Amino acid sequence: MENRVSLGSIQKAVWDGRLPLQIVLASSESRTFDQTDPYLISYPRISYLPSLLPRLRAFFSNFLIEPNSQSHDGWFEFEGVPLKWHYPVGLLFDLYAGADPASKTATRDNESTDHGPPLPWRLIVHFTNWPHDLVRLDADGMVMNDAFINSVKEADFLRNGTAKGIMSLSKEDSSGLWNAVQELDLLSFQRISNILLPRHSQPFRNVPIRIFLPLPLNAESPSLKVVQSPLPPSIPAPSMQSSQMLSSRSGSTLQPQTVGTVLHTLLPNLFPSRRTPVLAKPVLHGAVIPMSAPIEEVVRSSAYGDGWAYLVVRMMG
Amino acid sequence: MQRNAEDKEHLHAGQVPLLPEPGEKDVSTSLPQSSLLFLSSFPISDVFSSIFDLIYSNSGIKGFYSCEIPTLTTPHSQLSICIRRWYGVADSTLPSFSRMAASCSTFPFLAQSEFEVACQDLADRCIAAQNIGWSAIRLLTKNNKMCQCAQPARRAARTLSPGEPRRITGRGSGLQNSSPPKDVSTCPDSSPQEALVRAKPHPSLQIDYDILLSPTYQVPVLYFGLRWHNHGPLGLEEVYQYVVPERYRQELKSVGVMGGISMGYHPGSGAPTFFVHPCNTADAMANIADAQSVTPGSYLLIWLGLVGHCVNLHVPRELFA
Repeated sequence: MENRVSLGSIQKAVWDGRLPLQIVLASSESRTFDQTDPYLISYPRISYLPSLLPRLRAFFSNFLIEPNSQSHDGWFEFEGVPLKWHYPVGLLFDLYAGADPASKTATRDNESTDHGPPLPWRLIVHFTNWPHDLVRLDADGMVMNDAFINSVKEADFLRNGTAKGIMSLSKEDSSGLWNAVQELDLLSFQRISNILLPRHSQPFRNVPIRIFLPLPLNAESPSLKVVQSPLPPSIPAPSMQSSQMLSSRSGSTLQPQTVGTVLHTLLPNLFPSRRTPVLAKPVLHGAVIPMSAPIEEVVRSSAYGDGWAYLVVRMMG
Repeated sequence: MQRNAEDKEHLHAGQVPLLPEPGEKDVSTSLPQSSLLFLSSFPISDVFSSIFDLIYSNSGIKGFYSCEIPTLTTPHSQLSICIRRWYGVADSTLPSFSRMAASCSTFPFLAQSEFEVACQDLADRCIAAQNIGWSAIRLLTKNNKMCQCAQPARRAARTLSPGEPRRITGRGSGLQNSSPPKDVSTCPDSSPQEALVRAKPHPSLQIDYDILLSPTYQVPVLYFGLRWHNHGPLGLEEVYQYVVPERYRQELKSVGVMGGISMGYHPGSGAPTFFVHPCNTADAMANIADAQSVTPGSYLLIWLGLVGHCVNLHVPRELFA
């Protein structure tokens, strides 16, 4: 029972989480081929890559073969894969970078020896040849803003069973939410998201979680496999009949839905046990999360800025 | 103008007039605000077990999208008429949905299993109806979803021999009757039973529509992409220019962050696509349809009538036969 942490302090830690990025200009777009200096930054995990583009465009401006390219022409690549910009960079790293995630048992030190995580994360930025499999950005960032708000609405709909919350949000608060995530302004974010979130005394209707399956190593098209299902925060205790699931709202017959029960239910082959990761483990914000964690608490404390918890399933061994 | 003539012909030939009688008011403009859908958002990627695929090109509608853009100003009343017909009419006048007598269990939402039934029902209707103006229609199911999703990129329709199992139901509909001349050739990389029916290449705009069930909102979502023949995909500006009928443009552009149409990724193929925001769909359905009488099959048709007309996908009256 040492250091029982509050949900708020976990959220703060999530928002403080950063990834070292080393971004180089695509050699085919550089006047000096591969001799261009890399751009280094410690970048918040919950942030989105396109927010870096104006800085990168300025940093690489003297090297660009195509000097007329705009910052919103920019896109990122990791080992040949164009990165989907609408996912936060922390999720992209957990998905693609293959770093062995931090876990409770392994300390930082002995973890980085063998399978040293590939840090800084090395990305390539392009300003030409937009790939066909990415949604295009626009000059004033509306496409990115729209994608974010759509994602927020979905999370809100799942939590409340209606999207009225986000739709009745004032225009200032609606754009304020996006600004708060972009500027890493946790206080403003909390003020606005508290309007949307059900009170602690009132449970979510469903918990906004998406589960990303492991990517096949030699997949021709690395399209992501995502699992999503309506996930109520409580499920009937094992002894109860399933017919009571809907009728019973008293706490006595229900137990909290945990990460383990979700994974076991949705992916029984990968997660044969509800309590112990056997073949695969769930990763969130670069850390293995406990199978016993109640999913509503996970989302209340550790959701990304759009209200979703994106779990990445990593195979063990 | 050819289109108007054709509509009139249908009016006389059909048993039930779907176009307004002369002097009759088009009630679509007086529908409650909530019947218009474009207030919100949609998801990016998910796992679906059924994909319903409509390929809609200019072949069936006679130059509608080819260079004769003026025909775009033709009033599109068909869909609003459909809505009127659903609006408060007695059960007996509703189309018969013999396959599914049961009403929707989660109305105004649509459950996954009901969605699959509804898709099958719509596919059956399209096949039964002749010459509905869609160049192809395909029902994709979970097991063969990945291989089929690549298909819409081609201006192609697939026909099946009757003996094939139902889950592979790619079926051409009305193709033999639609106007442009066609080359019928066998697709080399497909199974022997499948034939590829291809219209002669000429400059045209192709729109591919997909209907999928949103795992978040539990309602169908209309995805669509457009491309010029032999060219790459087009952008949002072209969507408003060529796809959205003029009377809906302002309204559609004015909602949300950047309008009622968003860009995202197709849940099946992962490719960039457009979609109509679904978050208000359930409310709209609740306002328009009656919970007791709506079957999954009729749900999907009503929904298609609601959402489709704003992006130029009109429900052919033959489907209500």
